[in-house]
Amino acid sequence: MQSLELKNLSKRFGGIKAVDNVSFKVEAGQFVGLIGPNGSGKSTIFNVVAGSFPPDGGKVLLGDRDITGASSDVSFKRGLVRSFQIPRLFFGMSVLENVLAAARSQRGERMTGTVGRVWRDQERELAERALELLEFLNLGHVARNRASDLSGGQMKLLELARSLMANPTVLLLDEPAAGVVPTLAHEIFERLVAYQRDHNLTLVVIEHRLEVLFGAADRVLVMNNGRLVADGEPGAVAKDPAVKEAYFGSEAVV
Amino acid sequence: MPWTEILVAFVTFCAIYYILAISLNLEYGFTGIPNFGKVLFYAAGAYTSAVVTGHLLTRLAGGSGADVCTARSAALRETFAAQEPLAIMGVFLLALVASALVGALLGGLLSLPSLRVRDVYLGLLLLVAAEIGRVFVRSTPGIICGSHGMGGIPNPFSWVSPAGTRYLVYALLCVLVALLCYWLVQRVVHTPWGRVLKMVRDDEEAAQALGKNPAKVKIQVMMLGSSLAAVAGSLYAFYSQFVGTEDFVPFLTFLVLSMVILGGQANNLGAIFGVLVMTAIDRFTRGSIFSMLGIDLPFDVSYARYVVTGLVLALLVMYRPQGLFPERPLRTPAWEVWRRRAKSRA
Amino acid sequence: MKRFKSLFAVLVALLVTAAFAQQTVPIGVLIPLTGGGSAEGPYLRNAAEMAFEEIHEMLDAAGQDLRFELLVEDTRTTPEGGLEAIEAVASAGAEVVIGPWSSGASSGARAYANSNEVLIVSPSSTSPALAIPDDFLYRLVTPDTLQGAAVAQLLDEEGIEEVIIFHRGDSYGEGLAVPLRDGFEERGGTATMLAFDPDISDYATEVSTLAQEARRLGENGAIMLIAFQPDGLNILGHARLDPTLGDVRWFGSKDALSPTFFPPEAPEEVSQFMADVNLTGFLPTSPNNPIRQEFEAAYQERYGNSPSPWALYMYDAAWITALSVISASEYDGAVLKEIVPTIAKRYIGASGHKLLNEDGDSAVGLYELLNAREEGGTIAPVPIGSWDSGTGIITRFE
Repeated sequence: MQSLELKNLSKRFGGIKAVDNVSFKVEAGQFVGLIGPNGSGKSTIFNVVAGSFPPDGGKVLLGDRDITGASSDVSFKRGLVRSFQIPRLFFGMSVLENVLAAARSQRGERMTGTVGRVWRDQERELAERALELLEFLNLGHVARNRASDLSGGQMKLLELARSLMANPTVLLLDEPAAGVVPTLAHEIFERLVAYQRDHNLTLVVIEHRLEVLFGAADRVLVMNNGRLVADGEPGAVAKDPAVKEAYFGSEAVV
Repeated sequence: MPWTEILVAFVTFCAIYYILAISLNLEYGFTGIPNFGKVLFYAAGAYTSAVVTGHLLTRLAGGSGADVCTARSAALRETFAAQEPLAIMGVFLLALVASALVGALLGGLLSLPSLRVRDVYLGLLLLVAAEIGRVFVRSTPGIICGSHGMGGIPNPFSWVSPAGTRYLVYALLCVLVALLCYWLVQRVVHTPWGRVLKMVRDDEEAAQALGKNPAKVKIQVMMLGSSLAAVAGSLYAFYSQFVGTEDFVPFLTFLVLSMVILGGQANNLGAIFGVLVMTAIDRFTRGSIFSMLGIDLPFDVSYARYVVTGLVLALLVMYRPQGLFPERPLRTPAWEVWRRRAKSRA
Repeated sequence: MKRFKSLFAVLVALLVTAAFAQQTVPIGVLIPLTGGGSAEGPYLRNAAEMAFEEIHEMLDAAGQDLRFELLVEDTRTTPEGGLEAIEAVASAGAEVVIGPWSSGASSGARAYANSNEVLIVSPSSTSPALAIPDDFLYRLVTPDTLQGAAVAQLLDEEGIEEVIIFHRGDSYGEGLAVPLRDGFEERGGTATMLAFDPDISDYATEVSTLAQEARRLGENGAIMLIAFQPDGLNILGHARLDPTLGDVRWFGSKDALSPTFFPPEAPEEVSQFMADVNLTGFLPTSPNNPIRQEFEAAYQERYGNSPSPWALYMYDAAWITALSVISASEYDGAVLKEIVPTIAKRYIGASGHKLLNEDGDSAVGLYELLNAREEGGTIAPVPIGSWDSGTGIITRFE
């Protein structure tokens, strides 16, 4: 259970300010939606927070700890897990192995740990949990298939299963329901909420399907042109004129 | 009787190539490091064995360590080895272990570029490193006899006679070492560690986002792989009883690569098939073999055999790019759990 | 089932023919058909085939039933290739092989030959590391220490005080360059060794380095080129365009004075350059040798080009081997090992006298001194003298 705080975070690519002096704090156990039009800087925030590349300015705090610029494997060990917008699965491996891959502190993961049989018991326990997760996300029947043979929606689900397998305290999900059929999208979010409540997870979700997101999130943040333009409960944000402007331009009427 | 000789030689080389194949499969097939400099580590093992044998065995035989390159020194070692089983076998074992260590060290060193450069650039970089190493050794007389190469690396079973038995025993030894290497690699690879290798191969950034340290496993893999390659090089040196720079050319790397691709990526059992096919083409599409069968060919096999090799590879790439034996999931206890759950559900 | 039967019939037929085929004596011919020495391979094969045709004619005339079967194997010019090749021919029953050509391939084959008592009669392989007494390797070529000494003496007699030895950076190149340097320095000269990579396809950079070195030479300076044909012609082709290198006196190793460096096998501009720089050197074979002249003429007529210098040695290796097998009580490598030196001692062939020393290498050097010059409208290597290792005297013809 940890909070996540961004203080005056900035990131430039060439002359473009992808993230421009953004500050917010996600409380422990909160479900926060992050929305905004394409190119508004949402995924860049994830990339900077998770350590894919360092920020040009500002700070990232995980709980009390400063993790600014820490590489992604270090942040992962502190409990911060992220998913990718386009699923980045291990395509040469089976579905079950993809999920097992995300489990933390595996004994057999160190080369020296492969000596002896201790890791095997842990592997069995992890497999139980991974298979439960796969069944939870309707992927139980494809556990032995190659990840590259899955449909687009299944890949999204697998990416989600992988993120959950990592037992995160803070989870950043980049469009977990993109490309899946609407009924399934609702189901994913229902399960996500259930899981989040059960595990008291701090959750930040980027999602374009506002109708799905607004029903699940505690709070919504809106980005436009690299800046944070609105922050509040879903109902309030939906009525905010700044949000309408961000999505549809100043002349649009909803 | 004549077939025994050629078969013994065939088995010996299959064993040596198989060690190289699993070593390359570990790096390329499992981890995605295109080690096109494989031959460098093979050469490192052969040369380490030459150095150990040259200096240690010559001194044991009462000669001077200063002129190990000379014909006289080589002859001295050969005579001595035929009379002193313990000495030559001890030196052989020591050379084998030293080769493994030097290979691991060199592999660790040359894994450093793999932390910064990827894909085809890394492959070329390692290829060039191997060639530079070879040319450097050849043009430096101080390093293991330079361009002349070093002879007098006696077979560890030189004291066994007749020669047929000696070569047979050595072939069995090579097979034994190859099996050990296979066992070792399977043992470490069919584990969560092996899973990390495949993660790094498939998507390095995602692997890192899931808490793995790609740099660390790459170094480990290069050390283990290079150590195996050096062991193969050592076995080769004691078989041919000579090391010279002409043998350690990029061609060998690509021969081994074609064995791995033929067998199947990340499939060490499939690699056996790749090794058998490629070595059989090399060994049996020869004028002497056709002559033994009483077949008179109307064309020159010496050149035609390269067409056969090319054809096999071209057909493979066209019809079965994933290799004859495709990649399979790693065999960890996870699948026991999966089977049990699948059964209870059904 | 039917298919199975016919397959069986074919197998039986094969075995029967194999049994009949054993009435002939298989001889291994180990030559470089691919790799660094691939240019040399065809010459060697042709020379061996010519020799064995003559031998078969002789056997016919003598009413002998004996026939030789040549098992030609490629050594790839590598030690491993040499080893694989000897394993293949030995399995097919060869107790003796002629070849390999390169020192590397011979080194790779040597241990197998010793262990399995298969005799190697190499026409070349000049590496000093192969000068081992009482092994199963005989070499019909004089060690390059002799040629080195001869060239050192030649340089001295021509008034050269300083020489750059531009040589192949391999076993052959060093094997000749080192004794030359030592011999020349003993005579009070100054020698600089400059090696080049034997495996590359273009030598523009190496030649410009050579030109830089050549600028430092005094008035009595010279360049000694130690090369094979492909690298040598490329080097001379670049040197031709460099003004410095055209002003220096050149000497060359045996290949540079062989027909393979002159038209029609080489461009005329290159041989013109060789004549301009007065390129001189030794061919290790006796001049005015009728056997050689006869062989060269027959080769020219049959294959349409001149044989390489190594072809002469291959021809002699084939004859010495065949004569030894004919004299032997049984076809066995160990028996042949005892006979070959005796036959060689009584033999004079296309490449001269073949007396062997205690290391099993050719002991007598009678070299022809050649100079690149115009004769009869074309530029060719013209004999201008000879050198005898016994007396150490260079005799000039004019």
